[in-house]
Amino acid sequence: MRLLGRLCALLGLTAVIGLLPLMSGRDPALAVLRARSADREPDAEAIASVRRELGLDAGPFELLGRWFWRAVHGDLGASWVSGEPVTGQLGPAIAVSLTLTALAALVAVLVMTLLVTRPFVRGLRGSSAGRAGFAAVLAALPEFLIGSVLLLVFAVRLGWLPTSGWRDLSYAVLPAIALGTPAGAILAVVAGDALRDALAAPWRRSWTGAGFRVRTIALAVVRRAGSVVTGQLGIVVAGMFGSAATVEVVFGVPGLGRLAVDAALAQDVPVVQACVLVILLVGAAAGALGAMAQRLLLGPALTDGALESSAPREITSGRLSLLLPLVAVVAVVLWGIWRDPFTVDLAARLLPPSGAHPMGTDALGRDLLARVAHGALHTAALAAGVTALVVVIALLVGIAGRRGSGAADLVNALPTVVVALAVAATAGPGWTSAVVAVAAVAWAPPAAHARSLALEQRGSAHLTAARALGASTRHIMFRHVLPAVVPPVLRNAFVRLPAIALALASLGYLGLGAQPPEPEWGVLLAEGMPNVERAPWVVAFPAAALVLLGVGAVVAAARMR
Amino acid sequence: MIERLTMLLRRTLLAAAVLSLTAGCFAGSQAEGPARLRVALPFAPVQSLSPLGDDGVTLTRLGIAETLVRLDQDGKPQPQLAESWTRKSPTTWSFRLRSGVKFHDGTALTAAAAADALSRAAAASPVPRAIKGVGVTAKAAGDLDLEVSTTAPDPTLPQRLSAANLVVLAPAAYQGERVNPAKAGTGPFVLTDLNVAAGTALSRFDGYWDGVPALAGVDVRFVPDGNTRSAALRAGEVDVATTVPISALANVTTEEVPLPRTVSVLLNTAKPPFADPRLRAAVREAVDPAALAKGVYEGHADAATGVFRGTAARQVTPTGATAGSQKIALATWSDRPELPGVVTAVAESLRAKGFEVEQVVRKYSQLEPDLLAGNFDAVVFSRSYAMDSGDLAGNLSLDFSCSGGFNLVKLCDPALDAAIGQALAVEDVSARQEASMRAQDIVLASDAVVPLVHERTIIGRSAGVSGLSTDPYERLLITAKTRVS
Repeated sequence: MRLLGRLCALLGLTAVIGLLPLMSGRDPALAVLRARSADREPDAEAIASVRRELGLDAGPFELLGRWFWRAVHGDLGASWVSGEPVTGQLGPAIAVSLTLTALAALVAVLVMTLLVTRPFVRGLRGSSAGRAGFAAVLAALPEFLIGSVLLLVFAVRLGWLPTSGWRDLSYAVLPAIALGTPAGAILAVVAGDALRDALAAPWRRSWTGAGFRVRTIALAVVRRAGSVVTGQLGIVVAGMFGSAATVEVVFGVPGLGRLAVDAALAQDVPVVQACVLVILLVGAAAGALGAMAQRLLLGPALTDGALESSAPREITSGRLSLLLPLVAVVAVVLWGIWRDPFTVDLAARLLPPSGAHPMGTDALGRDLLARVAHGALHTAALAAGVTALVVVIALLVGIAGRRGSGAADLVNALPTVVVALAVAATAGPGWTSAVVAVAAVAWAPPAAHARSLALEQRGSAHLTAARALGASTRHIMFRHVLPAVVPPVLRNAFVRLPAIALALASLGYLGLGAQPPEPEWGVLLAEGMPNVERAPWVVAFPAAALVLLGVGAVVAAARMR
Repeated sequence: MIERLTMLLRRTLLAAAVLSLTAGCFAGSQAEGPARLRVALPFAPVQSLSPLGDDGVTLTRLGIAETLVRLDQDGKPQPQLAESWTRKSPTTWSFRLRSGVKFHDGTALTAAAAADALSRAAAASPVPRAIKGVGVTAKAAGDLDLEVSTTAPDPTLPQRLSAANLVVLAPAAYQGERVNPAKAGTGPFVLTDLNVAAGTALSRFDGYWDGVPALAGVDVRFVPDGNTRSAALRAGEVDVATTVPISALANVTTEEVPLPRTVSVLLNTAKPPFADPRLRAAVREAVDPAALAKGVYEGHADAATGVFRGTAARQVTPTGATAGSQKIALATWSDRPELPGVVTAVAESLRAKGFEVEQVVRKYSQLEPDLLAGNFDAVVFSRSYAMDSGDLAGNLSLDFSCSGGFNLVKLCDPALDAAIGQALAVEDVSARQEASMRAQDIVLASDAVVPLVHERTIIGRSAGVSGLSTDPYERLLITAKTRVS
């Protein structure tokens, strides 16, 4: 019964996302004609013939019904643009994306392991575990930037690996590193928190006292922490499966993310729906696997109320040095805010950093320092706002119950662009649509995190004790569950803040969010990317600013404990 | 004894045979025979290489399929699959097909096959733009004699037949509604199987009518990102990469092809503020085409004096008009990498003239509905003025006449319509171009369109590649004469 309900929800979401653009009154025939013939003037006769061919005159509800009926029978229809069966396009793209995702997951796990090993070993020895500074740096780097740099170094300069295409596994290496590195860094932040909590649990002291070997204790700690990490791993892997379009474009990889985004832009509804369906299915499967792994790792303790977790701790020492990133950002803003970020000077293009232009100039001769400074407030405030919104949703959904968590697994992997097109179709272009679209996808990972943390807390022995002592649900929630759940979830959400800033900026070309010449940092990065090789500073400074913002956000979140 | 000798002999022979076989094998791979050319193209086929949409150009550029007529550098029609043609009556043309032309499946090119191909295109939905509204009917009048007629007199029919949508494929290619060009072209290279994801391999067509192709074959792959295409070329993975972006030209050998394509500011004359000719003049006086060509395009574009290349510079007395803080929405699209830069530079110049400019940059597919609805005051537009038939007059009629199908500036001037009508009636190509230039003067005088630059396309190639076609109409790229060492 529950399975049936899930399936219906799946098909429903798929149908709605595909058909929203139709209901907005925008003519898909124009988009389809444009995809087939880029320069043709859209005369009424051509539009009418496309409408006839696709059977669009039936109206969205009739189309929806037809699609639903055929989908139930396993027929996903034919692409509106090419006329070929959707399954023929979908099959190879799924195979490519599965391979790429598997390899990227491997990279992510490696990166995570490398990042948490040292703090973990130090923690086992009893000294304080380190913080996630370097992880936050890696997590803030945009995938397309990592990808382009890898491509230039390893494919063009060294010639070790192919630049683009998809023939054998060597073609997957560079894209997998570009995708897996930031994902692994995010996982490292989550894993670091989980390990620290597990290390601080009371049972460890008793085990040590009882003379267990360090190896045994270490394994037990990893197993406890692993229960939280596996859930996040599932979410992150599903996310890489559906939302890898930018990396796929850089490396010319014919994956599912690119297929979905291209089809959404061309309003190729059958292809969009098929892609969304597959992405949702993979998301649900990854979520289920993560939950299963958590249950396996925790064992019967989870249901017997026999888990021991540490009581919520006091604020950990936040050394002043860690506030440096935020200080640096403020200093740059104060330095550059007096300069002019808009004046174009075509005679001063791509100048390297100098006294007159401390960060150099961009491709239109505008002062980069001024642009970074002027973009700071807007970028930071907006991204922080969206992140805060995401945290609230995540906590509500994650703690309130199990129902919503299934939805988290589902929406997590959807490409933001596809969601944004659906949102824009109903709400119209503008900042609100951009925020809604980004938040609609971004709440999922922290929500899943909150769910697994809350689940562990509820299974804890000290809660059983509290309940036995007559503590109210409210008391338990505010004194026990929330204090244990909020800090890690905050860190999880804030380490993703740079990614949210980039996602917001990437919707500009759909008419949502920032429009040139606004110096939004994501826009600066995107504008600079073509020149990354001959004028690295046009990308380096905005990227550095974004990294500082990301590290600052993580530090700030850590201090909120 | 004899047995042993025979045995020895046999063994020796066997060893020799094996040696010679392997030696032959290695020699074969090392011999200086014809090589294969590896090409990176930006756009993957959207309709499985059916010629009736944009994929038609891919078919002709790769040397898979050919049209009856081709255009030379000046836009004059030249023989290709058709050897010669005459206008029998105002509405009927007779084409004599080349003899001895074979399709890739071995069948011979006949007038019946050509008539079938044209009829299929004319009946397609939608009808290819080159013959839209022309009412083309084709029938075979002999084995190699083709008769093509139009509903109204049309002096540019041969030029129209040069459009890539109108390639002639073997009868087997036309299966119901679908057109499958596999083993059905007449060009120097044979398409056997299309594989967009992994790349497509073309083999040489030894029976090509214009001599055996110099290359053994062509390996095509589709790489959407311009910087990655350039990277693939530099890494030696491909020999040719088309449409290399200006930012990725370092360390690349290139051929630049001036295109009949113009980037202009189109002003919406139907509503304020640009209903006012003085403000349109202010825009013209604000922009600096030479600076844009040198700055944004880094010298890889030519400052424009008109919509068409080769327009004489106009002598206009400056009006010195300025704006009084009129708010305008200035749009462009991000699909062509230089346009966002152009729009920002233009917007800055307009702000200096007193306009309050809001910039809009989107993907073309996201921009077009608003564009057609006339929601923007000004658009920085990149438009080819010679797409299907290379006909300037037809382009003027489409973009600037009262009944024009793509009249984004919303001009409607009887004097202009009359001038365009005169140009449309001329048959001789040169005289037609001159008449079009005269009509263009009226367009330019209105300041509804402010030309900025003429674009070039940049083809990147490795040092050993020669014989690439530099067709300004972008229909040809790899030909029978292309070679790589």
